[in-house]
Amino acid sequence: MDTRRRTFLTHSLTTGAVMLAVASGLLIPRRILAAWPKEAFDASDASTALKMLLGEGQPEATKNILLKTTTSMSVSGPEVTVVVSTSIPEIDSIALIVPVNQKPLAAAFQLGAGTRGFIKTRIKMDATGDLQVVVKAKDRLYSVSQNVDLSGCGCS
Amino acid sequence: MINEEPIIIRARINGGITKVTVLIKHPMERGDRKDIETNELIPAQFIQEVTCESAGRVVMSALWSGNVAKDPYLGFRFDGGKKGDPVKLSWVDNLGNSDSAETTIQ
Repeated sequence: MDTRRRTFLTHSLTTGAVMLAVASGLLIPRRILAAWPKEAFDASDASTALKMLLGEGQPEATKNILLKTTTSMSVSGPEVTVVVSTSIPEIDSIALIVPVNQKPLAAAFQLGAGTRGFIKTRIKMDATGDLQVVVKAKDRLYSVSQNVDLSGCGCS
Repeated sequence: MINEEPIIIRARINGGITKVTVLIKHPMERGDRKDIETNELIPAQFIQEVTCESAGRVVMSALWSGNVAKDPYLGFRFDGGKKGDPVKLSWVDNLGNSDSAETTIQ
């Protein structure tokens, strides 16, 4: 088992029993993920969500994360297609945070050892504002933010 | 793209990089939206965990909120795959529903 994976997951564990099972190596990674980090996803501000998901530590700004967004409108509201690509090596996880949403943490992707620093997905965004991407690699946090303007997509 | 299948998964290798694209049919309701006909809140129903394995290793796992858009799209890439390797994706939502689908690398 991989210690970096444990660090990521420590913050999502809710019970001592799960903690013990992890410590004794009884659980395989797939099972550990059953502990969906409720505190992180329910947090109403971005910094609390980040802390609950990834632990203490201030993300450092980087130019090594490329972020591309396109906006569209759906029946449930504005949506943003997000493409993240980064050359940062040995990535543990990529988190997408939307501070303008009531619950800012949108998604976190945990990458396996040979998985590239690339994610494409589509998320909801309630208003014009920043989209923040936080990459965790070798126990360090890197971040990039981009303003996403929804005024042109027929939203709101 | 019209999404009739519950999960569409494609995996294609080119230059040693396997590109995986996934489209899942799921309402991804946050729990804060009202039904326009009944004016009642639509209960939260969203995928919380997604796991993708290939040839016995987890290549990507995701933790999601209701802020991932309806009928989620996911694209990612990994090294070390080869043609014919299985790629399996599974998901679980907040109500305990789950589904999975498998393909092979083309």
